[in-house]
Amino acid sequence: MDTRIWGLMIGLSLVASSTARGQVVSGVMTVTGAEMH
Amino acid sequence: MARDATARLYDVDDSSVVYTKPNKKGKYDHGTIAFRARKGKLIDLDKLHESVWATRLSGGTSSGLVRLGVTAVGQVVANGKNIVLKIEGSKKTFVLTGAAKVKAGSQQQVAFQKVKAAIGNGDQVSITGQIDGWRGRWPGMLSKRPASPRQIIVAEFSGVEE
Repeated sequence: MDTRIWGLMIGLSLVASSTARGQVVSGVMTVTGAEMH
Repeated sequence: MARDATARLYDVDDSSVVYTKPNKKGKYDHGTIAFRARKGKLIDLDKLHESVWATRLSGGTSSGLVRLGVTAVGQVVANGKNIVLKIEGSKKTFVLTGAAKVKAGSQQQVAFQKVKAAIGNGDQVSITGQIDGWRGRWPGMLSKRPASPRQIIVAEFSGVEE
């Protein structure tokens, strides 16, 4: 998988694990143009 | 591998961040990364945007963000001319809008009608839709900040049992 996608996924993992009070239950990020093997 | 390490370090349910590439025909294609908050938590979109910004993704390819869809739970209220979703326990709100071009009777149109009908009734509802105005190619889109308050283009509506 493209490292771009890994970077996004790790960042999202950290956000999803945050204990801060947020606003949304879940989400779907649609990306394009990376090498998505 | 990196995801496993992250899961150990931060006690993340590693199934909460899932990458899917629906169409495997093209090398350069759309893919989706689905994520959800840990049980009893909510995801902070400011932190999400900071996270994407922190990737420092560079240009030179056609890679970019196509859309960000979210699901939020709260109460629908009127605020002036706006329809707003109030999130319990958060000072942040979402402005709810209908899609610009939808067919009569479509799921999106029906969902937004239900949003209007729920104004001020005090019920907890679940809204799913796209964050308006946050898309584009790297790195230009990294500096974009969504409108404040953020706008959700409503796609789905459902009640929440309390």
